[in-house]
Amino acid sequence: MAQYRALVGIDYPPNKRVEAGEVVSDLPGSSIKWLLESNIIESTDAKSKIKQDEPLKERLSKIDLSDGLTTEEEEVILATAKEIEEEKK
Amino acid sequence: MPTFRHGKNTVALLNQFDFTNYFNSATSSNEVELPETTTFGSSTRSYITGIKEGSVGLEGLFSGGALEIDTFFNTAISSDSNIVSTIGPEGAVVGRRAVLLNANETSYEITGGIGDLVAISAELQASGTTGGLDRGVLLAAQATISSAAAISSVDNGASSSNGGVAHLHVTTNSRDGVCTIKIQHSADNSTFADLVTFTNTTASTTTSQRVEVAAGTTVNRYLRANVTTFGGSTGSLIITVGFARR
Repeated sequence: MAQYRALVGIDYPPNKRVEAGEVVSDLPGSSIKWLLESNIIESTDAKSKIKQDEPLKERLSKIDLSDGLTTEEEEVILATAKEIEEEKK
Repeated sequence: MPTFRHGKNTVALLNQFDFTNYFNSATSSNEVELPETTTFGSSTRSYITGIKEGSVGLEGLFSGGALEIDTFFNTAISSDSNIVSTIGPEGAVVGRRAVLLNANETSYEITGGIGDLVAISAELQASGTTGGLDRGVLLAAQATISSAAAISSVDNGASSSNGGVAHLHVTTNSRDGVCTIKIQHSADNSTFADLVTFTNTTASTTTSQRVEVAAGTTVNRYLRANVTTFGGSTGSLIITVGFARR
């Protein structure tokens, strides 16, 4: 599920609230477009510094654990672990 | 069909005071200078838009008690502090039009005549980045707040893109805790984002605030006032909130 960082506080149904700086994944789908266009939220995926053409270990070092893990970041961690296992063999 | 309003419902709030019951006339005016650019060879006059200014004239009845109209105007005329002023010519109803100005008092008159009540009149001159008055809507209108809750939203029909100005008047406050009042905006009238967060209202304190939303800021179609924190255990407050898009 896509994750977004709130840049200001947001109230959204059903009776939920996210504060500025928090990452949230349950914003109403119909509101995502205007929230992005108004710079009220940002995609945590889009903000990722990970570049696909970099070595796995480089990509691993750029993961920011402070704001939770995106799907992409999880894949990098798993792939790096697998690569290290293979190097040991 | 036009919607006409009777003037008897006009509301007037100056700083943390609701002086509606003291006034019987309120006139707001915006003016702009038009320097002439007509030169030799012209057969018609031409002008360019110059500097804007706005003012509000208030007339009413004298009352000289503590924290009443005479004390207020007498103090304000010699003060450097601006008066956060909201005038609602359509009455205290959410969504109705309001005039917002950050004013300096430029005149205050008291008139006493035989056979009539003692009357007052005062002139407020708008001062600020836009030069004139801001015309917006009421998002909370003399609303009694006794719990954390959002007030009904106001539909502008479209978003705007040049910021605005917000006023908060807390005219009565018996609440024994801190309250947070925000203005929120939305494009879908369902999810609302914070646009203006007023400085917290402390326990049992009346106050007023004026917050400018920077030029270039998108203000989405729907606006509402929301009391997001309602601290303490007893008491309530009466608030009026206005917002003018630019």
